[in-house]
Amino acid sequence: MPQHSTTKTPLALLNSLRLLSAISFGVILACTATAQNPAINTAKTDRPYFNDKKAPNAEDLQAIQQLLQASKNKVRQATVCIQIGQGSGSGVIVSEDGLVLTAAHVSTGVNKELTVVMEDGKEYKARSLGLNSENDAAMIQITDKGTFPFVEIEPAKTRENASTKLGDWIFSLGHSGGFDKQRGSGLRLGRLVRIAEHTIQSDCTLIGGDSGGPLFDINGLLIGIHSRVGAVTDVNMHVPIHVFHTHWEAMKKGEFIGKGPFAKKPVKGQAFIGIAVEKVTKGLKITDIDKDSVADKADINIGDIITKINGNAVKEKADIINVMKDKATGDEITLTYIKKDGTKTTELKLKLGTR
Amino acid sequence: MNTLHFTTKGIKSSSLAMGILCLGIASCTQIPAFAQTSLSGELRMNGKQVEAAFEAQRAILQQSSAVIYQARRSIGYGVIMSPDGYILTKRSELFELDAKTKKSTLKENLNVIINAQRFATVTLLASDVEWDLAILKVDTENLTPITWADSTEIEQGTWVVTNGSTTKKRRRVNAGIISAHAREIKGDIPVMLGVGLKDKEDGSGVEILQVVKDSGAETAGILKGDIIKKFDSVDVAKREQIIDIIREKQPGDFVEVEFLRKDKILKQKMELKPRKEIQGDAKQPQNRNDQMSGDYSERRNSFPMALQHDIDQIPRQTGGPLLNLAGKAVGINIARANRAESFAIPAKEAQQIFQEMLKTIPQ
Repeated sequence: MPQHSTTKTPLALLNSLRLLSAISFGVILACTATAQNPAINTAKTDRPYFNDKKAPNAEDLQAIQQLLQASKNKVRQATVCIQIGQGSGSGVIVSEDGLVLTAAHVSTGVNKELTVVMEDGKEYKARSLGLNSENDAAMIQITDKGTFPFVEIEPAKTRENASTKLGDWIFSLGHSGGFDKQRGSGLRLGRLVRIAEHTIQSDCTLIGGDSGGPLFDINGLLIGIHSRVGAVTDVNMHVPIHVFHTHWEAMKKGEFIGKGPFAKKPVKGQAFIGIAVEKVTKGLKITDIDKDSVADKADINIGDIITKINGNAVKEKADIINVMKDKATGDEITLTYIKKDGTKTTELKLKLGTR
Repeated sequence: MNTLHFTTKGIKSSSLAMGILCLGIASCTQIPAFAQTSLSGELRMNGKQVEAAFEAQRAILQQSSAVIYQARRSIGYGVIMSPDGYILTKRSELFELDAKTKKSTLKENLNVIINAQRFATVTLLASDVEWDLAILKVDTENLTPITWADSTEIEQGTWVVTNGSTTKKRRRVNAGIISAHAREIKGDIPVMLGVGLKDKEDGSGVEILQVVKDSGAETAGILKGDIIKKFDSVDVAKREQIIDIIREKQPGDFVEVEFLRKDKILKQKMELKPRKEIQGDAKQPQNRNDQMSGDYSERRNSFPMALQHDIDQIPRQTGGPLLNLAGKAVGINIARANRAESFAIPAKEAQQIFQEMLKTIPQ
């Protein structure tokens, strides 16, 4: 492995200048209602002979090509582009009702609004479920109704039981550099070149935008999610599927697991509405609104009087401060207020911002 | 904190400039259990033992591809088109900006190796800037031309093989697969008139918004506010019409432009210059994907039709044939766009452009 001596920098694969992290999609259960763990569609066990040969010969190349071509079409339909803010990554649908596996650095957090773009360009609304910020694993649920194409996932719960071995021929898909309908998701072939506890490495060459996209064995069984790359082209890192199995229920419930580095947990007490208030008889009167804050963008103005927060009456500034202590960026609060002209009382749901 | 040890042996702590990605990964303690789980370099996609499976294709590259050198440095490959020494190659790698004149100029001391024979004299016979193809000629009689594949549609997942590194005597292979739909690769047209344009709302012509310094338009004296009525003998009302005409021009071509200034119709010939003569050829990474990709082809877009493949290559390895397992050329390898995406001009188009270029060669 002489190339490795020149390896320099691990890079995340999100297609964004702002966000520095890797992306992956969560696997959807076939029987979401009852399953304790993801139900696996009859997992393929037929192991192609060429995987157990060290190096292929000319005949094996034909066999590899044949299987790859047969597998790629069905799994491509389930490979999606994920758009969030200014960034984009990839993901893969793993259940008929639209559960998506991706990377934590793509979903970036819990309960975030995202857009999922199918191969044909059709867009669906989606919401991020839980994530594992240490291993770069995350789940997303498509919230628009539909019946979605999905892939089969590797059933093994641990690395030791995995059906893939070092040297196996594998392929990757992903929306490199963002969605491009004319191009479609890019197909790349490689071998499984390194296996570690929470990471597998391949020489399927990845780039920004592929983050969260699927890595398949040659039969089209999902074995990993793209996470990050090194400077050398055969350093492409993926999250193995057993990491998803380990945290399946927690992620499905929307838990934020771990302390990074692939996603940052919002910190309580750092959320921000963007208003200054003073005490008046009926409640708290707004005296100033910060430019570009959530209040600035909402239908609330200087002079309006806040009477309730989350349904509880407010009389002192401390009443707001006490509520905000427990809130993090992205949390929601409901304000009840009287318009400046006194005409009506309004309820306003606000998604809290960052100072 | 050399925490990426468990996946990439060579990643050193110096790489922690991007530390967010490797710090804090909790599984370092698990290293011993998986210490041996790494595939030898020789068995990887472009490792020596995998390369050996492509001996049949390598043999074809050995006799039907050309190595193009500038003095003793290889700058690209070419496709042998005829026994008597016609070579199809990537045009842009043959040119460079002259340090003094800042003109795009054919590189000096070009020479070619085919099989193990060096040809010290090579002539540029024709070129096409739109497709970034050129014909070189060496003086010989007994070459084996490439065989082109018949099919116009190549399924994704098809193995493709092209020139890897080379010695004076022996060609090597680089292999990958067809990765995406064949399509137009959009980008800046490589020749430039040097004007900013806007359609007149009343459809009376195309207005000049801006004239670029050192361009053919500036030399010809066209000014901001002038309204182009006729371009290369075609009445124009939309900027796209002008762009489509420019797209098919070669560097050094002149176009006649008829334009309205105040209430006078003026006529001027204007030169289309290579874009890099005007904008310079400094190749700067455009975004983070470029930063993680390493070197890419200076001309990597603006191809009317291209195949996409995933061959792990460097820009100096383009220009050669892209073979399928049957040893037939499905295209000519035209650009490394980034670490995951490379392009080839498909067989059908490559042969067509070759024929069209032949017609431009003076008898």
